[in-house]
Amino acid sequence: MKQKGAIKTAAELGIKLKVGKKPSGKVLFPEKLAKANEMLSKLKNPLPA
Amino acid sequence: MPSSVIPFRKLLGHSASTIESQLLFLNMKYERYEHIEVSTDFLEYEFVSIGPRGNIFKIVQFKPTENIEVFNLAFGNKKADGSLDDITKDDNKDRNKILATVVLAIHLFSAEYPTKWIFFSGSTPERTRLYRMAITLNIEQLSIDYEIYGVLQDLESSLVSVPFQKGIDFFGFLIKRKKV
Repeated sequence: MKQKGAIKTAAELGIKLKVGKKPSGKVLFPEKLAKANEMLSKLKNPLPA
Repeated sequence: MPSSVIPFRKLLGHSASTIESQLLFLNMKYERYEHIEVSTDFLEYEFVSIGPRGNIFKIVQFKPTENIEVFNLAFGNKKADGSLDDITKDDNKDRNKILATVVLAIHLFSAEYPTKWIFFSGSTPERTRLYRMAITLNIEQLSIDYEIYGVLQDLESSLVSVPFQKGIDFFGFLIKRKKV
């Protein structure tokens, strides 16, 4: 079965999404991303497939 | 509060069939903000927190990490001057409603990017514990749709990811939509 997209998923949840906002094109929370990259780079075991 | 609206925390304890649990968790109108503005790439979600402190603009962003299989989830306040803040406590009396809305954003993102992992942690240890509590309270329902892992330190002080378990003080969390 094909995965539903976000719009269809939202519709099934009774939510009308307003899709159209232009992506900001930048990292809005750079410290959080840096922390994530640091943590992920230190992971000893690979993520499950 | 309408009888059809259920506070997020009260989802604990429901024991139904798999399909009914999924419907309960996702389709029922538990408290969350539903007027969400979404970017065309489904990576940014904006909504407004409404409470005693007024209207506070919230933004959720999923950003690719250096691991191409993992997106980082971050969210915070969008201030009037355009700057962003993920530290300040708003105290707008809607913490659980905000969390439920972020969960909704996760579900919508993962509908568009079903093969990607989502990593998130709190900007403070207290917030990481809050997220751990939220996952713990809803683990049965979340596990229907998601693989849920936590990041912790092993005996050799390395970081490892393990399936989420209650009672462990994780540094961060990794979730991914289960294959349909």
